[in-house]
Amino acid sequence: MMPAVFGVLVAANFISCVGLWFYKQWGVQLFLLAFFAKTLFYILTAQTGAFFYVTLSLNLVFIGILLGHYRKMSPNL
Amino acid sequence: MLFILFKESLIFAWQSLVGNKLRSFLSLLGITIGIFAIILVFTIVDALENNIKGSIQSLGNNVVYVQKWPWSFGPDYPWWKYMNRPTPKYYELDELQKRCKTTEAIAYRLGARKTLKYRSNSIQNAVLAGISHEFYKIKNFDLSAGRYFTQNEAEAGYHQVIIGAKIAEGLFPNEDPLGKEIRISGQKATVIGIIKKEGESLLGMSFDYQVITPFNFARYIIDVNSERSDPTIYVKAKPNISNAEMMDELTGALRSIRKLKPKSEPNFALNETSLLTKGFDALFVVIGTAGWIIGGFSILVGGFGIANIMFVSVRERTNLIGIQKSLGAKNLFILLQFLSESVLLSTIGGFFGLLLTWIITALGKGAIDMDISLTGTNIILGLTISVLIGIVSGFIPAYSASQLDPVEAIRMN
Repeated sequence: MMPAVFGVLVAANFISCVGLWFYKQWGVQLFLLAFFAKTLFYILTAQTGAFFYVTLSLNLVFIGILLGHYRKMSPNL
Repeated sequence: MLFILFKESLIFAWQSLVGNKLRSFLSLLGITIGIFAIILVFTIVDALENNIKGSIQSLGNNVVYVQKWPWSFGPDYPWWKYMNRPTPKYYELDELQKRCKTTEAIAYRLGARKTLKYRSNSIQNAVLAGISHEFYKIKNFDLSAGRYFTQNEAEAGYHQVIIGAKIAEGLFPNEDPLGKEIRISGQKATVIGIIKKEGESLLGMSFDYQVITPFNFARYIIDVNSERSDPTIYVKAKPNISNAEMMDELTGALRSIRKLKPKSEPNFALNETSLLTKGFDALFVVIGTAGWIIGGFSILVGGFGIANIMFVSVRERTNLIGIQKSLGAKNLFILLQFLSESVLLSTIGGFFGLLLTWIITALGKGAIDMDISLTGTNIILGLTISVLIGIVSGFIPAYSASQLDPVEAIRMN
């Protein structure tokens, strides 16, 4: 069932990107949710190689930028 | 509230799909083919994996095979090192039985393909295996009729055979094989037992097509010095002894029997079933990945098809969206309406893909004697992929529909 769970996380990530594209707060919220879920998934399935740490640090930088813009984003759907 | 919204969205979606039958059919075709490709590959891989693992399991987990060639799946197999090794000999079996304390049973086996005859019936290329008495303690097989060789019969080389189920069906279609005499390369042998039917084995280890006979009888029919007869000594460890411990003892005993100098390399291979399992696990990972790639591309194309059709659908119904919004429909309702349409479309596509897979596997099961069936896990996987593709490919059109300005939407032609 691992591919199915991973698929759900990828889909959530994709949808959050749409939200971010339209400068919506729900995009950030969904992105954070998908990020934590995906990190947990990688840790639980022991897929924590060099690639994991690179993407983790890039994502953290991206989240920092997003949080900086969060108040300016639209709170509506 | 959300449930009512979702229910209404589904009704709208269903009406739209039914209203454009040909368009709906063409869009779900891509998903059908994609799900069919992925799930069919996984179903076949599962069936192969179960069959091979079952065959490996029948070899026994705590059995070591003393052979000339080591089992290996690596690309750098130094075959030239093993070319001049001697094959295991029958006298080595006696020596090992005397020297080893960690073993529960030790057996010898060699085999060759021979023609079997009974009156006017004959079977060509049947596997004739010459075995020592303790073979039954190592290999798992049940007899459907008759009995196994006694120690005395095995050592004296009585002209007796135990035959596999398919051999029994082929040679004795209308009579009881027990007590009948068959001919193997001109030698007569009496059937004393029939092995219970096992079914097909991809590793060719099924006893259905085998005839087993005492080694001391088989040596008159099979060339014992030929490497082609694959002489093997099977060694089974005692219940509380690990394979590693037994292999240490075996290595010492074999080096002593073969009079190898302390610094010389061993001229025998000790093979374990775990080597086979590891090799096949790696193979199945590769096949599974190939399945994802092949099916993934089909699904990607199907997803683009759905996204395209959803954009057309939004464009066609822009006026309707405007009217709905001006009557008070929320953005979430419009979003769910189009999203559920795309999810419904791709789920129906996935369902047909699964149905196609089920039909193909049912036909395949009839054609080959192997347990190949669509598992619950694969059904859930197929449906989950369909739903996800529906969400991913339908989200952008649905979201853009939900963001439309009602006044402009009503005005649009």
